[in-house]
Amino acid sequence: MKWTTLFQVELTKIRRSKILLLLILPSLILWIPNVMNSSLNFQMDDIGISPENSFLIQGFMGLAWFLYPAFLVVLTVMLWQTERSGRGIVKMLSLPASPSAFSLVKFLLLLGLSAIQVFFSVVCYYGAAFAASRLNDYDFLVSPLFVGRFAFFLWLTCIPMAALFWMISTCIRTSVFSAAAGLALIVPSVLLINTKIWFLYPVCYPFYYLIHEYSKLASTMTPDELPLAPWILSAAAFTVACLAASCIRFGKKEIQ
Amino acid sequence: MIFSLERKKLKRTGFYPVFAGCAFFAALIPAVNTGVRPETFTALSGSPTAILLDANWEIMAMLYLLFAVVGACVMYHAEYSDRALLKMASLPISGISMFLAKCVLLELFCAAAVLAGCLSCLGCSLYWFPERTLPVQELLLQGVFSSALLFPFAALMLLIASCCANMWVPLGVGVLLVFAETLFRSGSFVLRLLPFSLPYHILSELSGAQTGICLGTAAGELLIPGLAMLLLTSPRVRRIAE
Repeated sequence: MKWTTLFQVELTKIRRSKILLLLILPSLILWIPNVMNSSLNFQMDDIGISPENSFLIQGFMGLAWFLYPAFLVVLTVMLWQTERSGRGIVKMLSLPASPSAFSLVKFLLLLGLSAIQVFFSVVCYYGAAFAASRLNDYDFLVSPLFVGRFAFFLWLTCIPMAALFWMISTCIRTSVFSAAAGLALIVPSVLLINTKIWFLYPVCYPFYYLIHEYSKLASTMTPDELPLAPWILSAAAFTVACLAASCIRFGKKEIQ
Repeated sequence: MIFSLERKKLKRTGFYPVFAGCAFFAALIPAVNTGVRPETFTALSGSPTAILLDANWEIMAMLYLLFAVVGACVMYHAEYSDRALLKMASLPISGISMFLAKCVLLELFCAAAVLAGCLSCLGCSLYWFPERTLPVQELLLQGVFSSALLFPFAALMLLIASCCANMWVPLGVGVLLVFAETLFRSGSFVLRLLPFSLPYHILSELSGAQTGICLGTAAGELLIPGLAMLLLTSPRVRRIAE
Protein backbone atom coordinates (compact mmCIF):
# COMPACT_ATOMS: atom_id res chain seq x y z
CA MET A 1 0.00 0.00 0.00
CA LYS A 2 1.16 3.50 -0.79
CA TRP A 3 2.10 5.84 2.06
CA THR A 4 -0.39 8.44 0.87
CA THR A 5 -3.21 5.86 0.96
CA LEU A 6 -2.21 4.83 4.48
CA PHE A 7 -2.22 8.45 5.55
CA GLN A 8 -5.63 9.01 4.00
CA VAL A 9 -6.98 5.99 5.87
CA GLU A 10 -5.65 7.45 9.13
CA LEU A 11 -7.27 10.79 8.36
CA THR A 12 -10.61 9.07 7.75
CA LYS A 13 -10.36 7.36 11.13
CA ILE A 14 -10.09 10.60 13.06
CA ARG A 15 -12.70 12.46 11.02
CA ARG A 16 -15.36 12.27 13.72
CA SER A 17 -13.08 12.47 16.73
CA LYS A 18 -13.77 16.20 17.43
CA ILE A 19 -10.03 16.48 17.94
CA LEU A 20 -9.72 19.74 15.99
CA LEU A 21 -12.13 21.36 18.41
CA LEU A 22 -10.02 20.12 21.29
CA LEU A 23 -6.90 21.53 19.63
CA ILE A 24 -8.35 24.98 19.01
CA LEU A 25 -9.78 25.41 22.53
CA PRO A 26 -6.43 25.77 24.37
CA SER A 27 -5.28 28.48 21.98
CA LEU A 28 -8.46 30.45 22.59
CA ILE A 29 -8.34 29.98 26.37
CA LEU A 30 -4.70 30.97 26.44
CA TRP A 31 -4.90 34.23 24.56
CA ILE A 32 -7.99 35.75 26.21
CA PRO A 33 -6.26 36.46 29.59
CA ASN A 34 -3.18 37.57 27.69
CA VAL A 35 -5.21 40.23 25.88
CA MET A 36 -6.82 41.33 29.13
CA ASN A 37 -3.42 41.64 30.85
CA SER A 38 -1.65 43.03 27.77
CA SER A 39 -0.92 46.34 29.52
CA LEU A 40 1.50 44.45 31.81
CA ASN A 41 3.83 44.06 28.83
CA PHE A 42 4.68 47.76 29.09
CA GLN A 43 6.29 47.18 32.49
CA MET A 44 9.20 45.13 31.16
CA ASP A 45 11.80 47.93 31.28
CA ASP A 46 14.02 46.09 33.77
CA ILE A 47 14.24 43.09 31.43
CA GLY A 48 14.64 45.21 28.32
CA ILE A 49 12.18 43.39 26.07
CA SER A 50 9.80 45.27 23.80
CA PRO A 51 6.06 44.96 24.66
CA GLU A 52 5.21 43.16 21.40
CA ASN A 53 7.95 40.55 21.83
CA SER A 54 7.01 40.08 25.47
CA PHE A 55 3.36 39.56 24.47
CA LEU A 56 4.37 36.91 21.92
CA ILE A 57 6.76 34.97 24.16
CA GLN A 58 4.66 35.14 27.33
CA GLY A 59 1.70 33.77 25.42
CA PHE A 60 3.59 30.86 23.95
CA MET A 61 5.32 30.06 27.23
CA GLY A 62 2.30 28.32 28.75
CA LEU A 63 1.81 26.36 25.58
CA ALA A 64 5.41 25.26 25.34
CA TRP A 65 5.89 24.00 28.88
CA PHE A 66 2.59 22.26 29.45
CA LEU A 67 -0.04 22.39 26.74
CA TYR A 68 1.89 21.07 23.73
CA PRO A 69 3.34 18.12 25.66
CA ALA A 70 0.00 17.37 27.38
CA PHE A 71 -1.89 17.50 24.11
CA LEU A 72 0.63 15.20 22.49
CA VAL A 73 -0.30 12.72 25.22
CA VAL A 74 -4.01 13.27 24.54
CA LEU A 75 -3.39 12.78 20.81
CA THR A 76 -1.57 9.50 21.36
CA VAL A 77 -4.49 8.30 23.51
CA MET A 78 -6.86 9.24 20.72
CA LEU A 79 -4.80 7.52 18.01
CA TRP A 80 -4.67 4.31 20.03
CA GLN A 81 -8.25 4.38 21.24
CA THR A 82 -9.56 4.56 17.68
CA GLU A 83 -7.61 1.36 16.98
CA ARG A 84 -8.32 -0.57 20.14
CA SER A 85 -12.04 0.09 20.40
CA GLY A 86 -13.80 -2.42 18.15
CA ARG A 87 -10.46 -4.21 17.61
CA GLY A 88 -9.73 -1.97 14.65
CA ILE A 89 -6.04 -2.75 14.91
CA VAL A 90 -6.62 -6.40 13.95
CA LYS A 91 -8.39 -5.26 10.81
CA MET A 92 -5.63 -2.77 10.08
CA LEU A 93 -2.89 -5.37 10.48
CA SER A 94 -4.58 -7.55 7.87
CA LEU A 95 -3.93 -4.86 5.25
CA PRO A 96 -1.00 -5.42 2.86
CA ALA A 97 1.54 -3.21 4.64
CA SER A 98 4.10 -3.76 7.39
CA PRO A 99 3.29 -2.88 11.03
CA SER A 100 6.27 -0.49 11.04
CA ALA A 101 4.68 1.48 8.19
CA PHE A 102 1.45 1.80 10.19
CA SER A 103 3.39 2.97 13.22
CA LEU A 104 5.31 5.57 11.21
CA VAL A 105 2.17 6.83 9.47
CA LYS A 106 0.45 7.24 12.81
CA PHE A 107 3.48 9.09 14.13
CA LEU A 108 3.38 11.39 11.10
CA LEU A 109 -0.28 12.04 11.80
CA LEU A 110 0.65 12.90 15.39
CA LEU A 111 3.19 15.41 14.08
CA GLY A 112 0.63 16.77 11.63
CA LEU A 113 -1.93 17.30 14.37
CA SER A 114 0.61 19.01 16.61
CA ALA A 115 1.52 21.25 13.64
CA ILE A 116 -2.17 22.12 13.35
CA GLN A 117 -2.18 23.05 17.02
CA VAL A 118 0.85 25.31 16.53
CA PHE A 119 -0.88 26.83 13.51
CA PHE A 120 -4.06 27.49 15.53
CA SER A 121 -1.95 29.14 18.23
CA VAL A 122 -0.33 31.41 15.66
CA VAL A 123 -3.71 32.36 14.17
CA CYS A 124 -5.11 33.04 17.64
CA TYR A 125 -1.95 35.01 18.46
CA TYR A 126 -2.62 37.36 15.54
CA GLY A 127 -6.24 37.79 16.65
CA ALA A 128 -5.10 38.46 20.21
CA ALA A 129 -2.30 40.82 19.12
CA PHE A 130 -4.78 42.76 17.00
CA ALA A 131 -7.22 43.01 19.92
CA ALA A 132 -4.42 44.04 22.32
CA SER A 133 -3.25 46.70 19.83
CA ARG A 134 -6.74 48.20 19.70
CA LEU A 135 -7.07 48.02 23.48
CA ASN A 136 -3.75 49.71 24.30
CA ASP A 137 -3.31 51.90 21.23
CA TYR A 138 0.07 50.28 20.56
CA ASP A 139 1.12 47.99 17.73
CA PHE A 140 1.56 44.50 19.22
CA LEU A 141 1.86 42.74 15.85
CA VAL A 142 5.21 41.09 15.16
CA SER A 143 6.31 40.34 11.60
CA PRO A 144 4.77 37.08 10.27
CA LEU A 145 8.20 35.92 9.14
CA PHE A 146 9.56 36.05 12.68
CA VAL A 147 6.44 34.43 14.19
CA GLY A 148 6.47 31.75 11.48
CA ARG A 149 10.12 30.90 12.07
CA PHE A 150 9.55 30.91 15.84
CA ALA A 151 6.48 28.62 15.58
CA PHE A 152 8.30 26.28 13.17
CA PHE A 153 11.24 25.82 15.53
CA LEU A 154 8.88 25.34 18.45
CA TRP A 155 7.16 22.54 16.52
CA LEU A 156 10.54 21.10 15.52
CA THR A 157 11.68 20.89 19.13
CA CYS A 158 8.50 18.91 19.91
CA ILE A 159 9.42 16.03 17.56
CA PRO A 160 11.69 14.02 19.93
CA MET A 161 9.09 14.43 22.67
CA ALA A 162 6.34 13.26 20.31
CA ALA A 163 8.46 10.20 19.46
CA LEU A 164 8.91 9.49 23.17
CA PHE A 165 5.17 9.73 23.88
CA TRP A 166 4.39 7.63 20.80
CA MET A 167 6.78 4.95 22.00
CA ILE A 168 5.24 4.98 25.50
CA SER A 169 1.72 4.63 24.12
CA THR A 170 2.77 1.84 21.75
CA CYS A 171 4.70 -0.16 24.32
CA ILE A 172 2.18 0.26 27.14
CA ARG A 173 -1.07 -1.22 25.90
CA THR A 174 -3.30 0.19 28.63
CA SER A 175 -4.12 3.74 27.56
CA VAL A 176 -4.46 4.83 31.16
CA PHE A 177 -0.89 3.90 31.98
CA SER A 178 0.55 5.51 28.90
CA ALA A 179 -1.47 8.72 29.49
CA ALA A 180 -0.54 8.85 33.17
CA ALA A 181 3.13 8.15 32.41
CA GLY A 182 3.18 10.82 29.70
CA LEU A 183 1.53 13.44 31.90
CA ALA A 184 3.79 12.57 34.82
CA LEU A 185 6.85 13.03 32.60
CA ILE A 186 5.82 16.62 31.78
CA VAL A 187 5.67 17.91 35.32
CA PRO A 188 9.36 17.57 36.36
CA SER A 189 10.55 19.30 33.17
CA VAL A 190 10.41 22.65 35.04
CA LEU A 191 12.97 21.31 37.48
CA LEU A 192 15.15 19.54 34.92
CA ILE A 193 15.39 22.56 32.65
CA ASN A 194 17.70 24.24 35.16
CA THR A 195 20.18 21.39 35.12
CA LYS A 196 23.17 21.05 32.79
CA ILE A 197 21.89 17.84 31.21
CA TRP A 198 18.51 19.20 30.10
CA PHE A 199 19.19 18.01 26.54
CA LEU A 200 18.92 14.40 27.72
CA TYR A 201 15.24 14.98 28.56
CA PRO A 202 13.20 15.62 25.38
CA VAL A 203 10.21 17.06 27.26
CA CYS A 204 12.36 20.10 28.13
CA TYR A 205 13.19 21.01 24.52
CA PRO A 206 10.31 23.35 23.54
CA PHE A 207 10.42 25.23 26.83
CA TYR A 208 14.20 25.56 26.69
CA TYR A 209 14.02 26.89 23.14
CA LEU A 210 11.43 29.45 24.20
CA ILE A 211 13.50 30.65 27.15
CA HIS A 212 16.51 30.91 24.86
CA GLU A 213 14.52 33.06 22.41
CA TYR A 214 13.31 35.20 25.31
CA SER A 215 16.83 35.86 26.53
CA LYS A 216 17.87 36.73 22.95
CA LEU A 217 15.12 39.34 22.69
CA ALA A 218 15.73 40.86 26.14
CA SER A 219 18.56 43.38 26.08
CA THR A 220 19.51 42.90 29.75
CA MET A 221 19.85 39.13 29.47
CA THR A 222 22.76 37.30 27.88
CA PRO A 223 21.56 34.16 26.17
CA ASP A 224 23.36 30.97 27.08
CA GLU A 225 25.42 29.40 24.34
CA LEU A 226 23.17 26.68 22.89
CA PRO A 227 24.96 23.33 23.14
CA LEU A 228 23.86 22.58 19.58
CA ALA A 229 26.02 19.52 18.91
CA PRO A 230 25.00 17.49 22.02
CA TRP A 231 21.42 18.72 21.71
CA ILE A 232 20.97 17.68 18.08
CA LEU A 233 22.79 14.42 18.69
CA SER A 234 20.72 13.44 21.70
CA ALA A 235 17.48 14.63 20.03
CA ALA A 236 18.23 12.56 16.92
CA ALA A 237 19.25 9.53 18.99
CA PHE A 238 16.08 9.80 21.09
CA THR A 239 13.83 10.15 18.06
CA VAL A 240 15.41 7.25 16.18
CA ALA A 241 15.48 4.98 19.24
CA CYS A 242 11.88 5.75 20.21
CA LEU A 243 10.61 5.32 16.64
CA ALA A 244 12.53 2.06 16.25
CA ALA A 245 11.08 0.74 19.51
CA SER A 246 7.55 1.73 18.52
CA CYS A 247 7.95 0.18 15.05
CA ILE A 248 9.11 -3.09 16.61
CA ARG A 249 6.38 -3.15 19.25
CA PHE A 250 3.50 -1.99 17.03
CA GLY A 251 0.74 -4.62 16.96
CA LYS A 252 3.08 -7.26 18.42
CA LYS A 253 0.48 -8.51 20.86
CA GLU A 254 -2.26 -8.71 18.23
CA ILE A 255 -0.01 -10.53 15.75
CA GLN A 256 0.89 -13.10 18.41
CA MET B 1 -22.69 -2.85 48.01
CA ILE B 2 -22.19 -0.11 45.46
CA PHE B 3 -18.72 0.66 46.84
CA SER B 4 -17.50 -2.91 46.62
CA LEU B 5 -18.93 -3.07 43.09
CA GLU B 6 -17.07 0.05 42.05
CA ARG B 7 -13.89 -1.13 43.71
CA LYS B 8 -14.13 -4.43 41.90
CA LYS B 9 -14.59 -2.68 38.57
CA LEU B 10 -11.40 -0.72 39.10
CA LYS B 11 -9.35 -3.84 39.73
CA ARG B 12 -8.27 -4.53 36.17
CA THR B 13 -8.42 -1.04 34.73
CA GLY B 14 -4.94 -0.02 35.84
CA PHE B 15 -6.33 2.52 38.28
CA TYR B 16 -4.47 1.18 41.32
CA PRO B 17 -0.98 1.16 39.74
CA VAL B 18 -1.61 4.67 38.38
CA PHE B 19 -2.62 5.79 41.86
CA ALA B 20 0.44 4.17 43.43
CA GLY B 21 2.70 5.66 40.75
CA CYS B 22 1.26 9.14 41.16
CA ALA B 23 1.41 9.04 44.98
CA PHE B 24 4.99 7.79 44.86
CA PHE B 25 6.09 10.24 42.17
CA ALA B 26 4.54 13.24 43.94
CA ALA B 27 6.06 12.14 47.26
CA LEU B 28 9.43 11.86 45.56
CA ILE B 29 9.39 15.50 44.41
CA PRO B 30 10.19 17.25 47.75
CA ALA B 31 12.83 14.62 48.54
CA VAL B 32 14.58 14.93 45.16
CA ASN B 33 14.24 18.71 44.95
CA THR B 34 15.71 19.20 48.42
CA GLY B 35 18.25 16.41 48.01
CA VAL B 36 19.72 17.90 44.83
CA ARG B 37 20.36 21.34 46.34
CA PRO B 38 19.96 21.09 50.14
CA GLU B 39 21.96 24.23 50.92
CA THR B 40 19.44 26.41 48.98
CA PHE B 41 16.67 25.37 51.36
CA THR B 42 18.50 24.82 54.65
CA ALA B 43 19.86 28.36 54.44
CA LEU B 44 16.31 29.75 54.54
CA SER B 45 14.80 30.75 57.85
CA GLY B 46 11.27 29.93 58.90
CA SER B 47 9.26 26.81 59.39
CA PRO B 48 10.23 23.75 57.32
CA THR B 49 6.61 23.40 56.19
CA ALA B 50 6.60 26.83 54.60
CA ILE B 51 9.97 26.23 52.90
CA LEU B 52 9.10 22.77 51.57
CA LEU B 53 5.57 23.58 50.48
CA ASP B 54 6.63 26.82 48.86
CA ALA B 55 9.26 25.00 46.80
CA ASN B 56 7.27 21.89 45.87
CA TRP B 57 3.54 22.22 46.40
CA GLU B 58 2.77 23.70 42.97
CA ILE B 59 4.24 20.69 41.19
CA MET B 60 2.76 18.22 43.66
CA ALA B 61 -0.72 19.76 43.43
CA MET B 62 -0.50 19.64 39.65
CA LEU B 63 0.29 15.93 39.84
CA TYR B 64 -2.70 15.34 42.12
CA LEU B 65 -4.95 17.21 39.72
CA LEU B 66 -3.62 15.17 36.81
CA PHE B 67 -4.24 12.02 38.81
CA ALA B 68 -7.85 13.12 39.37
CA VAL B 69 -8.17 13.70 35.59
CA VAL B 70 -6.76 10.29 34.66
CA GLY B 71 -8.66 8.56 37.49
CA ALA B 72 -11.99 10.04 36.38
CA CYS B 73 -11.25 9.06 32.75
CA VAL B 74 -10.51 5.47 33.77
CA MET B 75 -13.59 5.17 35.95
CA TYR B 76 -16.02 6.13 33.21
CA HIS B 77 -14.02 4.61 30.37
CA ALA B 78 -14.52 1.24 32.08
CA GLU B 79 -18.27 1.92 31.87
CA TYR B 80 -18.27 2.93 28.23
CA SER B 81 -16.06 0.15 26.90
CA ASP B 82 -18.08 -2.96 25.98
CA ARG B 83 -21.27 -1.06 26.81
CA ALA B 84 -20.97 -1.80 30.52
CA LEU B 85 -23.08 1.29 31.25
CA LEU B 86 -26.11 -0.35 29.63
CA LYS B 87 -25.58 -3.47 31.72
CA MET B 88 -25.34 -1.31 34.82
CA ALA B 89 -28.64 0.31 33.88
CA SER B 90 -30.33 -3.07 34.09
CA LEU B 91 -29.22 -3.46 37.73
CA PRO B 92 -31.22 -1.94 40.58
CA ILE B 93 -28.64 0.85 40.96
CA SER B 94 -29.37 4.44 40.01
CA GLY B 95 -26.92 6.47 37.90
CA ILE B 96 -26.55 9.07 40.61
CA SER B 97 -25.59 6.56 43.31
CA MET B 98 -22.99 5.12 40.95
CA PHE B 99 -21.65 8.63 40.33
CA LEU B 100 -21.54 9.40 44.06
CA ALA B 101 -19.74 6.13 44.81
CA LYS B 102 -17.18 6.92 42.12
CA CYS B 103 -16.78 10.45 43.54
CA VAL B 104 -16.13 9.16 47.05
CA LEU B 105 -13.71 6.51 45.80
CA LEU B 106 -11.74 8.93 43.64
CA GLU B 107 -11.64 11.46 46.48
CA LEU B 108 -10.40 8.81 48.91
CA PHE B 109 -7.57 7.88 46.58
CA CYS B 110 -6.74 11.54 45.93
CA ALA B 111 -6.66 12.12 49.70
CA ALA B 112 -4.39 9.12 50.18
CA ALA B 113 -2.00 10.47 47.53
CA VAL B 114 -2.03 13.95 49.14
CA LEU B 115 -1.37 12.50 52.59
CA ALA B 116 1.53 10.46 51.20
CA GLY B 117 2.97 13.70 49.81
CA CYS B 118 2.58 15.41 53.18
CA LEU B 119 4.27 12.50 54.93
CA SER B 120 7.13 12.78 52.45
CA CYS B 121 7.44 16.49 53.36
CA LEU B 122 7.49 15.44 57.00
CA GLY B 123 10.32 13.01 56.28
CA CYS B 124 12.22 15.73 54.43
CA SER B 125 11.88 18.17 57.31
CA LEU B 126 13.06 15.47 59.72
CA TYR B 127 16.11 14.75 57.56
CA TRP B 128 17.14 18.22 56.40
CA PHE B 129 15.83 20.41 59.24
CA PRO B 130 16.51 18.25 62.31
CA GLU B 131 17.18 21.21 64.59
CA ARG B 132 13.79 22.85 63.90
CA THR B 133 10.47 21.74 65.41
CA LEU B 134 8.87 18.89 63.49
CA PRO B 135 5.75 20.33 61.81
CA VAL B 136 3.54 17.24 62.23
CA GLN B 137 0.30 19.08 62.90
CA GLU B 138 0.89 21.73 60.21
CA LEU B 139 1.55 19.14 57.51
CA LEU B 140 -1.32 16.89 58.48
CA LEU B 141 -3.68 19.85 58.47
CA GLN B 142 -2.36 20.82 55.04
CA GLY B 143 -3.03 17.27 53.85
CA VAL B 144 -6.60 17.26 55.11
CA PHE B 145 -7.22 20.77 53.77
CA SER B 146 -5.86 19.98 50.28
CA SER B 147 -7.74 16.68 50.13
CA ALA B 148 -10.97 18.51 50.88
CA LEU B 149 -10.19 21.11 48.22
CA LEU B 150 -9.52 18.39 45.64
CA PHE B 151 -13.02 16.97 46.02
CA PRO B 152 -14.86 19.49 43.76
CA PHE B 153 -12.34 18.99 40.95
CA ALA B 154 -12.60 15.20 41.20
CA ALA B 155 -16.42 15.44 41.06
CA LEU B 156 -16.27 17.88 38.13
CA MET B 157 -13.93 15.59 36.21
CA LEU B 158 -16.20 12.61 36.84
CA LEU B 159 -19.14 14.60 35.55
CA ILE B 160 -17.22 15.49 32.37
CA ALA B 161 -16.01 11.91 31.94
CA SER B 162 -19.55 10.59 32.42
CA CYS B 163 -20.73 12.67 29.45
CA CYS B 164 -18.07 11.52 26.95
CA ALA B 165 -17.80 8.05 25.49
CA ASN B 166 -14.34 8.70 24.03
CA MET B 167 -11.63 8.86 26.65
CA TRP B 168 -9.53 11.50 24.94
CA VAL B 169 -12.25 14.16 25.26
CA PRO B 170 -12.37 14.25 29.10
CA LEU B 171 -8.60 13.80 29.14
CA GLY B 172 -8.16 16.82 26.86
CA VAL B 173 -10.67 18.91 28.78
CA GLY B 174 -9.05 17.92 32.08
CA VAL B 175 -5.61 18.86 30.82
CA LEU B 176 -7.04 22.18 29.68
CA LEU B 177 -8.54 22.84 33.11
CA VAL B 178 -5.25 21.99 34.81
CA PHE B 179 -3.55 24.39 32.42
CA ALA B 180 -6.18 27.10 33.00
CA GLU B 181 -4.97 27.32 36.59
CA THR B 182 -1.60 28.65 35.44
CA LEU B 183 -3.41 31.54 33.76
CA PHE B 184 -5.19 32.52 36.98
CA ARG B 185 -2.27 31.92 39.31
CA SER B 186 -1.25 35.55 39.45
CA GLY B 187 -4.88 36.73 39.58
CA SER B 188 -7.04 37.78 42.49
CA PHE B 189 -8.07 35.49 45.36
CA VAL B 190 -11.58 35.13 43.90
CA LEU B 191 -10.18 33.75 40.64
CA ARG B 192 -8.18 31.21 42.61
CA LEU B 193 -11.37 29.74 44.05
CA LEU B 194 -12.21 27.81 40.89
CA PRO B 195 -12.18 24.01 41.36
CA PHE B 196 -8.92 23.55 39.45
CA SER B 197 -7.17 26.31 41.45
CA LEU B 198 -8.32 25.38 44.96
CA PRO B 199 -5.83 22.54 45.66
CA TYR B 200 -2.88 24.89 45.08
CA HIS B 201 -3.64 26.89 48.24
CA ILE B 202 -1.16 26.52 51.06
CA LEU B 203 -2.87 26.60 54.44
CA SER B 204 -0.16 28.60 56.24
CA GLU B 205 -0.37 31.40 53.65
CA LEU B 206 -4.11 31.90 54.16
CA SER B 207 -5.84 33.92 56.85
CA GLY B 208 -8.57 32.31 58.93
CA ALA B 209 -11.32 33.96 56.90
CA GLN B 210 -9.72 32.90 53.61
CA THR B 211 -9.49 29.29 54.80
CA GLY B 212 -13.20 29.40 55.61
CA ILE B 213 -13.98 30.89 52.19
CA CYS B 214 -11.94 28.16 50.46
CA LEU B 215 -13.72 25.36 52.32
CA GLY B 216 -17.15 26.99 51.82
CA THR B 217 -16.50 27.46 48.10
CA ALA B 218 -15.34 23.86 47.80
CA ALA B 219 -18.58 22.68 49.41
CA GLY B 220 -20.59 24.89 47.05
CA GLU B 221 -18.64 23.73 44.00
CA LEU B 222 -19.20 20.16 45.05
CA LEU B 223 -22.93 20.64 44.85
CA ILE B 224 -22.86 21.76 41.21
CA PRO B 225 -21.61 18.47 39.65
CA GLY B 226 -23.87 16.56 42.04
CA LEU B 227 -26.94 18.51 40.97
CA ALA B 228 -25.92 18.34 37.30
CA MET B 229 -25.58 14.57 37.54
CA LEU B 230 -28.92 14.30 39.33
CA LEU B 231 -30.48 16.22 36.48
CA LEU B 232 -28.72 14.21 33.77
CA THR B 233 -29.69 10.86 35.26
CA SER B 234 -33.30 11.78 35.98
CA PRO B 235 -35.64 9.65 33.82
CA ARG B 236 -37.50 12.68 32.48
CA VAL B 237 -34.36 14.36 31.12
CA ARG B 238 -33.12 11.07 29.66
CA ARG B 239 -36.45 10.57 27.92
CA ILE B 240 -36.26 14.05 26.39
CA ALA B 241 -32.65 13.45 25.30
CA GLU B 242 -33.51 10.17 23.67
